[in-house]
This record gives sequence, C-alpha cells and structure tokens, in this order.
Amino acid sequence: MTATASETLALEVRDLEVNFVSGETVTYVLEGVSLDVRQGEAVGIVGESGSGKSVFARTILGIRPRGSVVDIHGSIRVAGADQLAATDAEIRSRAGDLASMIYQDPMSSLNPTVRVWRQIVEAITNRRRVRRDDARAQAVELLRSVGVPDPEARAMAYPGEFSGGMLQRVGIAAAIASHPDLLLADEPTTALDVTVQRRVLDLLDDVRAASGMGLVLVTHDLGLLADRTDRTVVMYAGRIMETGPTGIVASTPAHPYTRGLLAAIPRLSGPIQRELPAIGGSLPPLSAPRAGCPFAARCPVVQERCFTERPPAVTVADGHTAHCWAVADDQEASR
Amino acid sequence: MTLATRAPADAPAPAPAPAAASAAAPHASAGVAAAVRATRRRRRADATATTVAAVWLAVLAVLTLVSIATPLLDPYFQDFTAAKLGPSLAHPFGTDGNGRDVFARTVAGAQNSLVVAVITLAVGAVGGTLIGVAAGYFRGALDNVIGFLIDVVLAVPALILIITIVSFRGPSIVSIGSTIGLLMVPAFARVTRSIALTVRERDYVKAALLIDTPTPRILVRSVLPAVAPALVSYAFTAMTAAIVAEGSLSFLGYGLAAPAPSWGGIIAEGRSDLATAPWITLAPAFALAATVMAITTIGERVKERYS
Amino acid sequence: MTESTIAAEDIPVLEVTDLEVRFGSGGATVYAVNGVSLSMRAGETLALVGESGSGKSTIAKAVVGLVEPAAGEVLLRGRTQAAQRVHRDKATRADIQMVFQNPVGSLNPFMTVEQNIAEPLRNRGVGKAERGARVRELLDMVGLDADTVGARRPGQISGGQAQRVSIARALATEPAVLIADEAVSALDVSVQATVLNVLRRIVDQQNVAMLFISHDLAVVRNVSDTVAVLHLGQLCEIGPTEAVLSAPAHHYTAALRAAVPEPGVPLGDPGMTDADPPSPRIKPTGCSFRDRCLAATALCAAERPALTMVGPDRGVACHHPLERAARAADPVPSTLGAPA
Ligand SMILES: Nc1ncnc2c1ncn2[C@@H]1O[C@H](COP(=O)(O)OP(=O)(O)OP(=O)(O)O)[C@@H](O)[C@H]1O
Ligand SMILES: Nc1ncnc2c1ncn2[C@@H]1O[C@H](COP(=O)(O)OP(=O)(O)OP(=O)(O)O)[C@@H](O)[C@H]1O
Ligand SMILES: [Mg+2]
Ligand SMILES: [Mg+2]
Repeated sequence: MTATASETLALEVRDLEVNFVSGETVTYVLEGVSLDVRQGEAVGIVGESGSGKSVFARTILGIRPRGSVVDIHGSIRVAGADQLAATDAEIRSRAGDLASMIYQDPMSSLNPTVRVWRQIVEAITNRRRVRRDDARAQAVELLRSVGVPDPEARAMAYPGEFSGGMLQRVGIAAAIASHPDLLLADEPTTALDVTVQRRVLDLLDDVRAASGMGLVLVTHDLGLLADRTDRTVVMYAGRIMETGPTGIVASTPAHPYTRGLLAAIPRLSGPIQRELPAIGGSLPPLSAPRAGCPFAARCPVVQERCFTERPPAVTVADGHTAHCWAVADDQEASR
Repeated sequence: MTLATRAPADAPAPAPAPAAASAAAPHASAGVAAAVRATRRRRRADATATTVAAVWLAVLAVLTLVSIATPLLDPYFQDFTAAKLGPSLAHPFGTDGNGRDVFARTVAGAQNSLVVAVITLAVGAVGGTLIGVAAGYFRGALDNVIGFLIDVVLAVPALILIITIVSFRGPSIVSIGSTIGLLMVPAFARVTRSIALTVRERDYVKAALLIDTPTPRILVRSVLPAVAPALVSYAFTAMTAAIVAEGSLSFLGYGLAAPAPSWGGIIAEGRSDLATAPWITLAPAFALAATVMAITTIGERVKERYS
Repeated sequence: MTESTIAAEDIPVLEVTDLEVRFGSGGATVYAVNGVSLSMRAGETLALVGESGSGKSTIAKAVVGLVEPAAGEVLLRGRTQAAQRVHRDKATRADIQMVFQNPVGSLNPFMTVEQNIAEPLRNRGVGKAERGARVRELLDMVGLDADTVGARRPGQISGGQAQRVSIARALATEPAVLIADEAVSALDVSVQATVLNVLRRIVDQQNVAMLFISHDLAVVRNVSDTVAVLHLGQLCEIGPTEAVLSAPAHHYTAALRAAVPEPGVPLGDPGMTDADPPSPRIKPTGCSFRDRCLAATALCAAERPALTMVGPDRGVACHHPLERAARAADPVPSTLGAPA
C-alpha cells in the first residue's frame, strides 16, 4: 500500500490538527489525522456526523471559516505542493487547479443570482481568458455529463430553479471542470437518487481513471463505498479510528465503532426494523482535547484505560489498522 | 501502510506501545494558547485604533461644544491686521486672508460638515434601505414603482436639483443635507435591494414563513442582518462623499451661506492662498482626513460585529 | 361521502388531490408536478421516493403553501386549504410543518441554534422561560446537547447537527403533519438511526402523519407504511412499502430497487437503458419513463398510463406492469454481507 518513492502523492496529510478559536472558546476538531492518497486512488471517509470530515476536506483546500481563528498543525501537501505554507492569494490563484471540492451543501456554495453556467466554468475563466461562447459550451457539456436533462436551457437558469439533486450535479460539474489533481467530494450524492448517483459516481470513476486524479469521498453511505473506493477511513471525534481496504473494513471491521456503524445501516431485506440499532449516546464535546479514546463512553467493549490512555494503532492485517485497546488485547492474545 | 493517527509531537516515530501513545493526550495546547493570544493581540490592536478614532471624534465634539457655548473660539471675528499669519500660540492653525482664526473656523466647520453628513446619511441610508429592502423583499408592483421613481431621481441632473431646492428653501444645513441625502437614496436602494432579492430566496426565509414569523420580524432578523455589512461599509463611504459633496457645493456657492464655515468651504477659500498660506487649507483638510479615517475605523468595528 | 358519516379517525389528516405545479411560463415552463393525489392518516408515514427533480420537494412546498399549484387541492382534516400560505387559517398553519432539504441553509444564520428553535414558539407567544425549557427538551429529543451547540450559529455546526436542529424546530409546535424533506440524508448511519427512531416515536406517540421524502429505499423500507414512487411529477406506483419494494410492479421502481448499493452486494444490472431522463420543460405525454424502460411499446408513447389499482391499497401507472410471478422471480438480492 505504500507509494513508490518516485510517485507524487495526490494528497499527503501528516498529523493534522485543527482547532477553531473564537474569542476564549476553543473547539478541538481534528486531533492528529494522517492520510495519503495516491494518484488515481479513491479513499472513502465515513464517520459520525460532526466528527470533522468536512473540516478536514475544507482545510486541505485552504478554506478557513469566517469568524473563527483556525489553529492548524501538521502538514498538507496536494500533488506535492504545500497547502499550509501557501498564502491566501496563492490558494486562490491555484484554486481548482490542484484540488477542488464538491460541497455537501450545494445551495449555500452557489450564488443564487449568477447563472449556473458561469459558476461552473468559474475556475477556468478566472485564470484564463476564454471566449464566452466556448465557456458556455463547455459548461453545457459538463452539465450533460453529470446527467442534467436539457443542459442547454438549464445552463442559463439560476440555482433557485434547480432541484436539490440537480444543484448537486451543478456543483460536481464545477468541481471537475478544471481537471484537478485531487477531488474532495463531500457527500456528493446525498441529494441524488440511486440511479443518478450511480451515473455520477461512474463519471467520477471515469475522470479518475483517465486523469489519475485522486479522490477523497466523504459519505455516510457505506454501501456506496464498497464499489467506489480502494480504501476506507473511519473517523470519530476528529480522529481516525480504523483504516483499511474497503472490502475488509466492511466485512471484518476491527473497531467497535465501525461495527456499530455497520449495524446501524437500514437494510433492504430481512426483517423490518421499527427501531434501528443506533449507537447510544453522542459525540463527546469538542471543547477539550479528548483524553484516551473518544468513543470510550459509547463503546460496548470499553476498558478502564480507554478513558485515560490514547489507544495505539494496531495493525490487524496488511494495510488494516485500528486504534483500539480491545483490538490491541486480541492481537496480544493471538500472538 | 500510509495511514497513522498523530504521534506525540515530541516522539519521533509513531510507536504502538501504549505508554508512548498515551503521552499524546495534552497535545498542542501551546499552539492553541498562541492562537488565543493572537486573537487577543489582534483585538487589542483593533481596540487601540478604535480608541484613537473615538478620542478624535470626542475631541471634535468637545471643541464644537466649546465654540457654541463660549466666545473663546469665534469663527467670524476678523482682524485685518492679522491676516495670513502662520501658526502661533495665539492662532494654533494660523489665520486666513480675512484675519480669522483658522482653528476656530475648522472647529466650527466640523460642526456644520458633520451635521450635513449625518443628515445626508439619515436621509440616504434610512430612505434607501427602506426602499431597497421593500422593493427586493416584496418584489412585484412595489418593486416596479420604486424602480421607476429611482430612475426619475437619477434622470434629474444633480446640480440642477440642488440649485432648485437650495434656492427655494435657502442654503440651510437641513436643506443641503437632505438634498444630498435624497441624491444618495438610489445608491443605497440598489445596494440593499440586490441583497434583499437574494435573501428572500434563501431557505431560512422560507423556513421563517413556515413557522409564522411576522413579516416585520423577518425583515429585522433575516433581511437586515444580511444587508447590514454592505450597508455599513457603504454608509461610511457615503458619509465621506457627503462631506466632500457639501464642500464642493460651498465652493460653487451653493453651500452654506458665505461666512458660515464648513470644511469644504474653508478648503475652497484657502485654495487661492495655497502657496503663501498653506495652513488655511491644510488644517481643515487634516481635520477632514482624520475624521474620515476615524469614521472608517469605527465602521470596521461595527461591520465586524455584524459578521 | 360526507364528513358526518365517517368516524373522525377515518378522515385523512392530509389529502392532496390532482396536484399540478408549473414554474415559469411560455416556452420556459417547467412541468414539475403533473396530477398527483396522496392521502395520509394520523400516525401514518407515507414515503415519497423518486428521481432527483421528480417534484418531491415541490409537492412538499405546495402542501405547506409555499408554492401555488396550477391545479388540485390540499386538504387538512377534510378542509380545503388556501393555495397560498398567507391566506390559510392561522390555527391550521402550525399544523403542517416541514424540515427543509438544505439543513444549514434553512436555519437563520444570524441566530443561535437555541434562538432558531425557539422562534416558532416565540411566534406563538410562548413565554421566555418556557421557551428555554422546551428548546432544551427538543434538542435532547434529537440527540444534541444544548450546552455544547445551543449558543453556536448554524455556520459553526456540522451538516448533520444542522439537520437535527431543523427537525427540532419543526417539532416545536407539535404539528399534526410533518413533512421531512430528505431529513436524514445528511446524517451518518448511526445518527440517522437515532433520528429515525426519534421520528418514529413522534409519529407513534403524538399520532403525527409524516410525509417522508427520501431517495434512500432502505431507509424508506424501515420507516414508512406506504410508499409512493414519483417520476417526473407523476406517480408511478403507490402501495404498502414492503409489498412495493419486495415486488415492484412498475419498471422504474424495479430499476430504483436494483440500483441501491449495499455493503457486500455487487451492483446488479441497472434494469433500464441509460437514455437521458426527458426534460421537465416538455409537457409530458405518454409514460414519462418510456425512454429508459426496457418494456416500452408504442402504446407507452401514445397514452399516459392511468394509476390503476392492482391490489388492496396498491396502484400502478404502467401499461405493462411487472407480473407478480415475474416480480417474485426478480433477482433481488436477499442476502447481505452482514458484518461478522
Ligand atoms: N467555525 C466553526 N467554529 C467552531 N466549531 C466548528 C466550526 N465549524 C465546524 N465546527 C465543529 O467542528 C466539528 C466538525 O464539523 P464538520 O462539519 O467537519 O463535521 P462532519 O464530520 O462533516 O459532519 P457531517 O457528517 O454532519 O457533515 C463539529 O462538531 C462542528 O460543530
Ligand atoms: N422556483 C423554480 N423555478 C423553476 N423551476 C423549478 C423551481 N423549483 C423547482 N423547479 C423545477 O421543478 C422540478 C422539480 O423540482 P423539485 O425540487 O420538486 O425536485 P425533487 O424531486 O425535490 O428533487 P431532489 O430529489 O433533487 O430534491 C425540477 O425540474 C426543478 O428544476
Ligand atoms: Mg460534513
Ligand atoms: Mg428536493
């Protein structure tokens, strides 16, 4: 799984720590996240809502929230270029070139008063002079490729005239317009029905295969990851809990959180579950650094030290790692 | 394997040994403290600038009161034997061509210029915002009518309008201020209308309708806060523009009547003597620049609080 | 049928009859909803599924009175509701509440989470102290901690947290009809399970009728009693959820069913051609699914199939519905790679 030395990684994140400081309150969002994505590789990120997946993606892209000071440690390289050392101007000038993003919330990321075709080709036209007609034709083509019916007419419409799912496709078109080295897709298909979802993901697969683009796919649809990603990262409260080849994580999860997550998936067959097996409790507050394991309070196999000692990274199999004391014990016993 | 969670900052390699891993618990507190300090430092710098700005405006206000309440600073007292004197203890900013004290005139000018600017803003910003928000939020016929009225105002040449109003109502502070304000209504209306148009399409406004939020409350809690940042930054630009506009009018002879001082008027008066007695122009110019900067600084703070 | 002959419980809480919604005019008209009828009883959950752009949100907005239908009626407890919300009776307005599809965008960014949830209470004149207590209760109900997120603004919480805040707000006035437009689509599966359990409990305990809009068939299967499948503004199929999903009668329902990705189950044959869906700007003729349907004939282009009852509570709008036998033999995956 380790990249060869000569290959530039599409994404290389080391020990990333992100804290939001607004006034006297500090939110400790990410606590030491490391992740490599090779060119052409697709990595899925799943995890509890609020555990920092979007913050992770936005930090990679260089987007800082307004109103809070962001305190970042660690390193981020996109296609070899240091993202943290870059100035705002540099980030803006290469926006879309190195990395681009499909946002979780398309309505809020689009300007309601600008025609969609302009917003789709913005990343291109910002840097190069493109003839208006060419730009528009390109936008229409992109809209067609993401399955928007009647793209010629739709390109001229405003975001408010689109359904939620179609807006999401506009966002996808805008993100791939500039052929980035890395595409961060933050729940790109949550608003889409399965038939369109399939089509859009096929498209992303094609782009990835053709251009060697790295893909980080943030989703909560574990079913979707199976067919679309090489590796899966499970996040919880700003930390990576488990990581490994997607098929293995889905079939033989090592971490108790991953197991809980998989059990909570509603099923299309088998008995109907009036009461779905949720994991009791909720995310720990992010107002303090987490001591020990952040999942301890909700964990079915919790031990005393889980509350105080940070669990080690345990290699379960080649390329499959879990951060858990119980897994560490198992490993110890079987050795 | 290319993935690992953060190792303790002081440990060179991620060791799977529990002891080393647990050492990571109170990590990064130094960085956070630095960030907290950075916010505090930025806030302190902002606070200093704001204080300086506020002090300047306060000094202006006190001097204005002094000039109104006491005969110490008389902007009209002429002493032809003491014309175009350079700055001295008796005349800190020197005297003008008529031997009037430039300091006294600058202070009196502040009063007139600022009152004109405030009236301008009151008319322009309040009127423009009301009109713009109403047009943008309610759309329909109201929007069309307002659009038409704005076009009418814009079609009338500004100078002719001012000359007409001033000659009918006399060159008083109120008539000049409200006329310039009227001319600023379209600009304010445009800025606020375009924002109100986008805000009404936002889901949070639709959600507000669903929970039966009364329209005035929607306007105050949803539309105005969205309009405010643009409005505030534009208001400060407009205020400067108003001060300058009033000066230009005075220069053209349509400002405040002749001896009454305003910054624009004094600058205009001093222009002919710029080579020989630059203080006549520089004192009010400095006052104007400092005031504009003070207003802008305070404007920034206000804007920050909104966003 | 007059009201007096029917027991109160038998009157549908919400009824939508022959609803048609169009946007724009002339050549730019979008035919968003084309003759949809639905009916819901108290304590019942009706799921509305269908392709993106098929008019699900538009139906929801017409029900709450945010868009004006071109034809058709919305009835609450048998009473016709004015097309526009402002013309509706104030007392009944609070009875239909909605959770928007866009969670962050539907919360007022200038208010804190707590203020957002308190807003409907405030508008009904609930006192300050009572509001505070109720807000905590509501936040607790959707699994959020008031002390942690209460004072934050919508921009400072995650998408899933925002979704729960908007659910809490919709529930604040104890509506009789709750419309949940993709209410759980932004949530991870474990929070989704929590929220679905919350919704389930509210439906059961407070006898709420829930219109549950979703494109996730697995979710729909576990929460709804009835499912209505929408395609380009028309109902393809409606019926008891389990019956429809286990043995679809409409080819579109079957295609939807086949496209659901599940862990450990390889994606099957899509069951439809990959033609583009027709433009919603063309006035629909015939069956809207025919271009992508494997069983389409000339009849499908010529005539719009009417919704016909094929069983108790089961309707399908198709000239060539899948036979029960054929449906049963469909290669629907039945085993799952359940986690060890
Ligand atoms: N500007 C901010 N200031 C303070 N806290 C923030 C800010 N933005 C996000 N957070 C917090 O950071 C955490 C991570 O948020 P993030 O949006 O990354 O979650 P997520 O994993 O993407 O969740 P979801 O699946 O719900 O989208 C949340 O607890 C959120 O409340
Ligand atoms: N204000 C509007 N003006 C013009 N067209 C609109 C407007 N609102 C919706 N539409 C169109 O109406 C159709 C139905 O939209 P709707 O939002 O109801 O779809 P949906 O089924 O909710 O889809 P999704 O699952 O993607 O949210 C779409 O073609 C959409 O583009
Ligand atoms: Mg997110
Ligand atoms: Mg919708």
